[in-house]
Amino acid sequence: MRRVSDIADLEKAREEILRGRDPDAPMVAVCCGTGCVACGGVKVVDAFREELESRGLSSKVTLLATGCHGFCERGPLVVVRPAGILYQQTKPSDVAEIIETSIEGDGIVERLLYVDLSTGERIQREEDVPFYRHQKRLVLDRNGIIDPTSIDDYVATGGYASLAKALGSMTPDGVVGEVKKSGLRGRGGAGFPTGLKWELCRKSPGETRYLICNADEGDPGAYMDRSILEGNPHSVLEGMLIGGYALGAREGFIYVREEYPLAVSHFSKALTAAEEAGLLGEDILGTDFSFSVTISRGAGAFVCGEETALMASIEGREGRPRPRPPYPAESGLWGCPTNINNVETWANVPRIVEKGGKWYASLGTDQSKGTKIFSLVGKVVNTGLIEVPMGMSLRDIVFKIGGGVPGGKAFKAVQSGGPSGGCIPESLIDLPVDFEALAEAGAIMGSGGLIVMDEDTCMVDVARYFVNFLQEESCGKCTPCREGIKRMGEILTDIVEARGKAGDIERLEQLAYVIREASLCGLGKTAPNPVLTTIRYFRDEYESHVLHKRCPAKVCKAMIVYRVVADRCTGCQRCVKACPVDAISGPRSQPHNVDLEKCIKCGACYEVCKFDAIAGDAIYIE
Amino acid sequence: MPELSILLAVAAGGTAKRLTKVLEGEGYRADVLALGSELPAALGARKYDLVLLSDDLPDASPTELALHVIGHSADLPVVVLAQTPSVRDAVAAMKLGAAHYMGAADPNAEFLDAVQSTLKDKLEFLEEEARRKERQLASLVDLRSVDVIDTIMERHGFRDSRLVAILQDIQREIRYLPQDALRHVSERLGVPLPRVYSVATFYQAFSLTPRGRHIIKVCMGTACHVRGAPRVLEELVRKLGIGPGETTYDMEYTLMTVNCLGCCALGPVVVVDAEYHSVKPWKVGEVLGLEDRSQVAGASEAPARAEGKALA
Ligand SMILES: Cc1cc2nc3c(=O)[nH]c(=O)nc-3n(C[C@H](O)[C@H](O)[C@H](O)COP(=O)(O)O)c2cc1C
Ligand code: SF4
Ligand code: SF4
Ligand code: FES
Ligand code: FES
Repeated sequence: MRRVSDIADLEKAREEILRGRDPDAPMVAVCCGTGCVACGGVKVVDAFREELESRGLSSKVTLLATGCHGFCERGPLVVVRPAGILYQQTKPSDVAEIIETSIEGDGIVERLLYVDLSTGERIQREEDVPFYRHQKRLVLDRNGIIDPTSIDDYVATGGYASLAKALGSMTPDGVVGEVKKSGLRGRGGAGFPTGLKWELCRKSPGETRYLICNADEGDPGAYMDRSILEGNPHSVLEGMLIGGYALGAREGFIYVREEYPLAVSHFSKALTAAEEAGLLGEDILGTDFSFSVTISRGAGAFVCGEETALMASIEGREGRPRPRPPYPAESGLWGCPTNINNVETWANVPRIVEKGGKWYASLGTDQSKGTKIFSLVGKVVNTGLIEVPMGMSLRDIVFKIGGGVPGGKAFKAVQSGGPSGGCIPESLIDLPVDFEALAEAGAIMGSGGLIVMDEDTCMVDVARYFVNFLQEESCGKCTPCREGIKRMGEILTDIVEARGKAGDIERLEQLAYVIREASLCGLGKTAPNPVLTTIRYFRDEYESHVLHKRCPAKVCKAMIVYRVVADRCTGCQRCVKACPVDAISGPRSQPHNVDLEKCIKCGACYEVCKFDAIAGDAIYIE
Repeated sequence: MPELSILLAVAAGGTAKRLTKVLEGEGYRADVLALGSELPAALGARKYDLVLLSDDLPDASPTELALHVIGHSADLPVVVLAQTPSVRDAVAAMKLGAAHYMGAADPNAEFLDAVQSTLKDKLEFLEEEARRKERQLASLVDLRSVDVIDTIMERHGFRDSRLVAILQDIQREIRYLPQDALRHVSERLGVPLPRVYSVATFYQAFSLTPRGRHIIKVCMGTACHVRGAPRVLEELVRKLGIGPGETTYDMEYTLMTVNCLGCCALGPVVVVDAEYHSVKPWKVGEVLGLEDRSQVAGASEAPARAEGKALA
């Protein structure tokens, strides 16, 4: 894209880009988000490039390597436009057929279509797939349509028009007012009203102000921030630019998690492109507004997602939280007023400026406006990234969009909010998902990780998992968090290893109370949530472990033995091959035997057996 | 010092009993095999430090067996025990790579001496090998590090606020943070050494010890956890013989855990260098192309390396 000299010129530049493009030209969009790349997306793109070239179609067909489309379960995804045909689980060897059938011809490669499991019907168009049909995409709308490394694509689809609108026709106060009106709340976890946060920062005295984009995304099992940065980095940058103008800041930082190299790469390309286009740097769009952005990479510490720790890390120190007040809005980076927002929060800002706060506030529920992106993962048929209006019920999310639990297993719970969140049981499945409802249920919205659990998930084990996670991640500054979480972990370990004692559950509850009340930062304050919610909704499972030494989900090793059910075993020898320690033996076609001395309880035989002939029995100890 | 184990392939009888007693008297573990055909299974079941092969087995010659032992592990020394020693046999045994050749009737002291010196040679060889690797790494650091580190610091304008980023870049170049590098950074940036260390030890991404040529990252995120990640990790630990955060003795592999790699749909996920794999616990070896490096070393047929998927 050429350099844009002023606000009116941006629209001209957009028209120039569009003039060079044929809206009806065929286009192939291949998902190159992390999930699809991991199953071979890049190879599919390469195959398309070669095949188009060898057929002399390179100049007629646009080939796009896009960010995550959301439906990662079925990757690598290919969408052929303008018809909008979705091909799933594609391989390089499918490419020639796709080109022949759907680009050179106007047919469809039936075998690559998505099959609706409930009806058995093959679905052609992306938007008709149930996974997409029930979503509302404001932030993810361009993922899958644009090349994230092309500023032209972003501008062609209306990008930076909101920045132009803010700079050209709104006062900074006007922008803050619009964000307040929208009711937008922070997407990073706590849900603090964004407009109010901006106003506080704007009113803080001081010459220099900073903005931060929090892309630390610590919740293990959530990857929406990553997908926004990878799939549409300019939307985050545009949000930050609008924020910079509204708050009078000249400098911004983005703090990106270590494990996200592709996000860093796309975002830094976006910075360079925006600067060359005159959208970043000095005198943006010919106004006197100047803004620059620096990328900071995280170094593997969950607590650095906490805002005060994050700022310490940007300043080059170890990331330990400090008490608030003073809040970052008063005294943040290097003691200056600082406004910190999450990636998704920033990405919502251009939409609000474009369509108005009132419009945004018309979406969602009374207290929670707009849409929210969730990563729907775990024991669910359609794993992926979804964006839905606030207030959609968990049932709709898990069953309508997610397609329920795979393998005919029974749904048990959804974990929301990561290590600070909690488990919501099946009895609350009709809960509307918004900040208030989740908090009431003892969980939190968090950053939007929704982990689905089925009958094979042990809730005590899940609680221990989170407690272990937090124990490792506690920065160690305050005693209740450092020692309390450790004690909780010890009790939980005893319970899952069949050493639980009467009173352990009550001890956990007492510890939880102290940790919550006496810790300094959010990590400690919310650490008991996973334990408390699992006790609250699955107390019987705890009791079964503690009193009867039984793990109903057959997860806790100390409480199970594997054995062959002789009258079901066909002697097919699948388990023999799977067993890593050669603990199973038996002549072919005869019932096999498990050598309990050798067995390391890895469960492999249980999982591979096609005849349900391996039983993981809950055993009684004592 | 862990217990050293010796495998004796000697026809049952007086010699076997006598030698076992001598070895056990010195604190070695001694297992006796009376049939050559049992050798492969025995080698698979346990990691031995030395194998003694006698020529009085009913079903196999020491030459055949020595070939098998050496094929199993080139590092495992062999001592040949002859009922009727001859120079020709001795030469043949040495050519095959046996460490010693001796008569079965030689006095106990001589026997012990041969065993001990062979074990000592092996230990010294392994130690020297490790030292050589370390030297190689250290000199690699010396030669390039000062330049590399200065260039990195320059890129960050020698600003102490960029300390985390500087350490990240150094680690990317040299794969870990050597002590000298930290000292150098502290001097050039004017940041007290304790502060450099406190930053270098606070973040999980930093390593103060050298890392292996290949980094294996196992995702322990929640989505992977409920889909069986702990079992995948256990299998890797068993196969590699190291725990998370550790590096194999030969500097080949470093095993690490991470929390969510953002491709939960594939869970449980393991990343080897930049290749993503969706791994079932019982497919760990197969998918990663790892030979089993633990005691249960039955993997003689090397599994083909699964086709990797590089992240762009
Ligand atoms: C332990 C801890 C971890 C956090 N991790 C993140 C994170 O990974 N990403 C994020 O955006 N916010 C995280 N937060 C919340 C931030 O402190 C902060 O509230 C948020 O970035 C503000 O942005 P928002 O108002 O847009 O949500 C974390 C908080 C705590 C206490
Ligand atoms: S609550 Fe935990 S993580 Fe937070 S400051 Fe205290 S010790 Fe550190
Ligand atoms: S649980 Fe694992 S170790 Fe035990 S018999 Fe089954 S496959 Fe073998
Ligand atoms: S990575 Fe391709 S759909 Fe998510
Ligand atoms: S939890 Fe393992 S990739 Fe997300």
